[in-house]
This record gives sequence, C-alpha cells and structure tokens, in this order.
Amino acid sequence: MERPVLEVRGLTKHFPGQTALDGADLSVNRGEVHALLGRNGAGKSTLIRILAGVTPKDGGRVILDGREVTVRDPLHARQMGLSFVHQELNLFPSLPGYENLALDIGYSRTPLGLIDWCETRRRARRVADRMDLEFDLDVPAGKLSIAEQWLLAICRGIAADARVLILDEPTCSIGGKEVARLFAFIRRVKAEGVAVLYVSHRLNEVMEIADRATIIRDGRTVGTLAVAGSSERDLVRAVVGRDRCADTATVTGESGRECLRVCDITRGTAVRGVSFSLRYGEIVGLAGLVGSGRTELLRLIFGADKADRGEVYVDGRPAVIRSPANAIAEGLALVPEERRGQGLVTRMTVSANITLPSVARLRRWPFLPFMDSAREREASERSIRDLSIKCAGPGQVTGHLSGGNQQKVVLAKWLSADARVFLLDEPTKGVDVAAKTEIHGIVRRLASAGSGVLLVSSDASELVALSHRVLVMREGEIVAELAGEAVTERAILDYCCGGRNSG
Amino acid sequence: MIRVTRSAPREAAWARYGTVAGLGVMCLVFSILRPDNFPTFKNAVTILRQGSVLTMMATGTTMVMILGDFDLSVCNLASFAGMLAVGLSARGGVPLALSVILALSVGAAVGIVNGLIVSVLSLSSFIATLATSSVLVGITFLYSRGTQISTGIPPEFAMFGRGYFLGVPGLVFVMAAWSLGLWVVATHTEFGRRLYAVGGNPEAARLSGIRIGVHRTAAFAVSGLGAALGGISLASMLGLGHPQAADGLLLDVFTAAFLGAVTLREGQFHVVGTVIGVLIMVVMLNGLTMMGAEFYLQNIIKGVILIAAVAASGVRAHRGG
Repeated sequence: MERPVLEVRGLTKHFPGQTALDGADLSVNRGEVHALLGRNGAGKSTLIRILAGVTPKDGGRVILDGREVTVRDPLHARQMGLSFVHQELNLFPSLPGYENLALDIGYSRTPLGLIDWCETRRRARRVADRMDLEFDLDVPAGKLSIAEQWLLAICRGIAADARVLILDEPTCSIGGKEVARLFAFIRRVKAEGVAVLYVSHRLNEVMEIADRATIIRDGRTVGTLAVAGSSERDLVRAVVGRDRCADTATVTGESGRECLRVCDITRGTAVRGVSFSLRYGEIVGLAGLVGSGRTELLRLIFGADKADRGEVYVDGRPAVIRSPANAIAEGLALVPEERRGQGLVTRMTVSANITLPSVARLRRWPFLPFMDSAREREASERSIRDLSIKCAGPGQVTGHLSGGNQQKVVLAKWLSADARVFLLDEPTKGVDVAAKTEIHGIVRRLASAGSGVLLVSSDASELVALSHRVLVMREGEIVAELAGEAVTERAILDYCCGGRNSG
Repeated sequence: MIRVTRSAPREAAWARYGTVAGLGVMCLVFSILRPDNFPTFKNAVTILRQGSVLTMMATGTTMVMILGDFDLSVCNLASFAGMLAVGLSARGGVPLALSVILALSVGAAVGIVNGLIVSVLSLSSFIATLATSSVLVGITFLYSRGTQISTGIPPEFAMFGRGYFLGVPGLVFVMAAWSLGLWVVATHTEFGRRLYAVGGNPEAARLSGIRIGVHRTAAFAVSGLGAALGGISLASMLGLGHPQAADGLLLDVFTAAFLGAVTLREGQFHVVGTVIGVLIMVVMLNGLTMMGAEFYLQNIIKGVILIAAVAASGVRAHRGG
C-alpha cells in the first residue's frame, strides 16, 4: 500500500481547563479527498491549527511523507507543502486576481529588477488555465463571487506547490451550482496528485466529494470510514455518537393573523420591488443563492440599511422603521448571518449579550437607568437553561463559546427582548449537527409559541424541514413561492438557479 | 478562524496586576530612599491634590475611549474652560458660581460638537478632535488676547482650589465624587453597558437597537465636561487664568487611561483603571522630584510608559474575541 502523504498519530493538546485533543489520528493519501468530521468543539480546528503551525502541540507526531516534522509557524507549514484555505480566504480583495496569484508564484522581473507586469499577468494566467479558472483575472478579488474567490484561493495554494490542501468549510457560504463548480475543481486538484483534507459540516457534500472520512469526537479519532461504503446516517451516527438524525418532517403549524407585510421594498439592484407577507405562527423560508438579495432584504426590513422605497406593515399597521432601534420597538428581531461580526459583542459576557436589547427592562428602579445585576443574572440564567446554552455560566465571555452556542446566545437575546417577528439569516451556518437540531427545535418552538419567522437558508433540506412556505429570491426579486407539497429540495434548488421558469 | 493568540494565563496576570504591583513597588522604593519625606500624610495629600486635575480629565475621557474613540481636545478645552471661568468672573462681572456653571456648560457643549462631528460626518475621532483642539486654542487666545488673567478674581475662586476640608484639599473631594459618579455610570447603568457594547462591536450594538450616534455624543459630552471641570480646578489651584494652563497634560491623560486599560481588566478602558493610572503617574513624578531628578528625565520616562502601556493593552484589544 502507498505511504500516506500526511499522518498524524496520537496528537494531544491541552488548554487550561480543557483537553482539546486527546490522541487524534489521521492518515491522508496522495490524490484523495479526505473529510475531517466532528461536532464543533470536537477538536477539528485545534488539529488544523497544529498542522498550520499556529498552535504548538503537546504530544503526538505529525509525519509528512514519512518524515516526522514539527510545524514551527505558518510559513514553515507552507514551505513543507501544507496549504490552508480558511473561510476568510486570505485574499487581497482590492488586488486583481492575477496579483493575488503572483503573491504566491512570484512576480516576474525586468532586467532592471522592476516588476514585469505583462509577464506576471501571463504567468498567473498560465496557472489559472492549468486549473481551468475561466473568470477574468484582472477583476479585483473582492468583486468575484464567493465561489470564484474560493477557486482563486485554492489556486493560490496549488500554485505554491502544495502537497496537502486543507479546506475549512469551503461550501459554508455558497450555494447550489457554485458548489458543483467548486467540486469539479477539487476533483481536478485531486487528479494532480494533491491530497485534500476537507473539513465540513455538510454531510451530503462529504458523501459526494470525499473518498474517506475521519471522525473526531471529544478530541479523539473514533474511526475512519470509506465514504463509498457508508450512508449519510452512518456518518451522522459517528459524528454525534448516537443515532440522532435531524427529523425532516414538515411542521404543520397553524397560521394566524398577519404579523409582517412588506410592499415593494427596493434598494438599488440588490433588492428590487419585493412584496410578501408573514403570519403569526408561520415559518416562511427564504431561499436563494448567495448574492440573490436575501440578507439585504432582511437588513432593509430591520432598518439596518435604508430602502429606496417600499413600506413595511407590522401587525397590520404601517411601521416607520428607520433604524434597528425602531424595528426592535416594533417587535422585530434580526439574527444576522455574521454571528461574530454582527450578532455578538464577543468580548462581553454571555449575560451582557443576552440582555443587550432588553437592558432597559432590568432596572432596579423604574424611572432610573440603573441595572439590577440580580435580575440580569436571573434573566440570563433562564435563557441559558431554556436554550441549553453550554457555557461556564452567565459570566463567560462569548468569544470562547462554540459556534452553535454563540448562535443560541444571539437567539436568546431576542427571546428575552420579547420579539414577535424573527428574521433569521442562516441560523445554522457553521454549527455542528447536534446544535443544528437544537436550533431547529428552537425555531419550531418560536413559531408554535405564535411568533412569525422569516428564515433565510442556503440549506434546502433545512428549508423543507422547517418552512410552511418558501419564497425563492433570484437577483433581488422573489421569483417563486412554494407551499405545501410543492416545497421540495429539488424545486427550491431549481428555482434558485433559474432552472425553472417562474410564472 | 485561526489567529495567533498568546498564551493567556501568565501574561494576563502580569498585565492585570502588574500595574498595581508597580505602583506598590514604586511607593516602597521611594519610601526607602526618602523615608522622611515620601511616606507621610502630608505627601499623600500632595499626591492626591496633584492628581486631582488629571483624574477629572482622564476619567471623563475614559468614557470616550470605552466607546472606541479618542478625544484629543480635552487639554485645550480644559485651558479654555479655566480661562473662561476666570475671565467671566474677573472681567465680565458674572457671579463666580454662574461663571463656573457657564464654563462647565461650554465644556459639555464642545464635547457635544465633537460627538456630532464624529457621528454625523463620520470622521475619525482622532482627526475630528485634533481639528477642534486647534480651534479651541484659537478661541482661547481670542478670548484672553494671549495674556493671563490674575487680577480681579474673586477670592472664593482660589479657596476652591487651595482650601482644605477635614485636612484634605477640597479638590480631592470634587475629584472623588466625579470619579465615583463615572464609575457608577460605566458599570451600573444601561448607558455604560451600551458604551462597552459599542466599543466591543459597533455593528452588533447597532443591530441590537443601540443608537450609536446618541451614545457617542453623550460620551464626548462627558469627556468635555470632565475637561472643563479639570481646567477650572487647575485655574483655581493656580489662582489665575492662563491660556495654556492645561495644554501640556495630553500625554499624561492618555498614559493614565492606557495604563488603566492594562489594569485589572484585560485590554478594556475603565474608570478604576484610569484612576490607578493617574496615581502611577503622579507618584512617579512626586518621587522623582524628591530624588532631585531633572524634568527632562520625567518626559523620557512618561513617553516610555505610554508606549509600554499601549503595547500591552493592544495585545489584548486584538485578541480573538
């Protein structure tokens, strides 16, 4: 049998108060796509940090091409052929594509030692052609679609002669057709003999792209499976440790009065004349590819951005929403897609985050703006219990929580503010399978308790599982509304990609 | 996300208690070297008195720093407010109490203008307050015609700055009340909580319904009020109005606040920290003066401390959070 290009044996890492890795093993072969699976907090990111030379290991061995190595720092990792593409991509958004490549393959020089821009551009183009990148390399990287940015970032890794390419949640923020494009590209990379370590929470994608999968649980490798011989259920069971598939039964909620009506809301070309309505107790899914205007629509309704025109009615009355503060006063809540960037003040504690919108209700005396810390603690402890947020207590800083628990803190914030209309933007993005199931439960509870929920998701199965109706957006417009039996993954994806003619 | 994080526990302890320990060590060393002069009640009172003006200004502007902004105009504003209080009562015939109240109001008003410039025009606070401080210098000279006012000042004015109550200078009580008030505001009110939220993540704060412009303007108003209070106190200590009385304090104000940001709490500005920062500065100057150190040595040491404090707090400000 061929020698694995990357081997990890008995890796351990302890942080004060917790063991992140407790004997993790991994073995990746040349020309294979190897999935690394595990819940948030299972130790995947620590493993990757150690490989990247960001965190030193406590014990165990990392073997590259048969030689034991200690990765000193990120530069050292690269020199040894370990190439990482993180979710942040590390592209230079203002520089054109070819220059982003040139930073890795090197700039060409004129005899005087100055940069030869023509030759630099040609060299970058050659690398891009080899990998079938068909988009324009003169466009600044920030203007490319998210999927194209990923392709470019991966291309940078390959161009630097990577032997092992480590992709961290590559499909996290891209949808349907673009995923197919990315996968085609990954297969090409694999055909070049590069080993690909693929970290993802989306098991259906792992089923599609990966050859083998290693599952980490509680810092320990619990097994490596050949994907071809396993079912998605096998993987879920291995990741969670018990059989806990997300139930996919459509909710049958009772819909009440109209809680939100949006008429002809427009902002530039991002959102064009969108109208729809939402009733109390109803979950309406909002499907669409990244860039279709879903996030922008939520932000307009919530007053986070200014609409060019359009009206919003809350509870049947016209609402003047010029700022998030107005929206909150109307009973609206926004759970933004960028949890750390927009949802949380990560340096503040769990309790301070939970009470942020409702802090004025926790006064010691009704007419003076002094907080009552006992009531605050009580309120946040209640939320922590209700949503089973895993944390050391209300005083823990939110930045140290796992993604799923951070998301629950954001939800708790709005629950304690008594919001009645929830705008949820990708609420389960980047959270593990178990937390996802819990968040689905919370969303269902919200609706059955009478709140209206507008749910943006790139995960069609999530929309099918949760929504009573699904609206599909494309290029800033609602192109389809699916209800009842018509809500299927297939139909959602078709409309998202423009595959069916919208009536 | 992968970020380079420094190993936390030991360094955090160094930072949290290092400044307090430093203060203790300094007191100890000076007490050993100058046993007759340094560790006396009289000197303790002197230190508090010397630190009063700086504390008023530094704790006030700490509110702006909690929010993530800077107010570079505090010192020029302090000079202006001191000048104004003296000028109005000595030359304008305005009753003393009223002229003090007017000067304080002008301080708060200038702070509001700063806050509005930063909020409405979306300027960086650094640039905006640098500009207003220049305007303030001009206005102060315009008002005073460049000369100091030392005659015609009501004697009660100097009483405020030089008088004693229960053996402690009156100024110290004012400083303590002001700082205590700000501590309560920062730690026990909704307003303080929201300031910290805006400072931690403005976008998340906005999406949580916090009106950032209002809070920013209010924080600048507090900073302006603290500056005016400090400037008036300084004028009363000096017993005269000088157009540049407080101009040289800017470095001290910022050094104290940054020392505070590495004290007790990680990388966060807070009122108690700023007070400790001021104490460190004043004790150091007091001790060095007793040792007969040249004034330029003080400048060198102050500069070095500022760099060290900012560097230490900066590590924490950029920590993954």
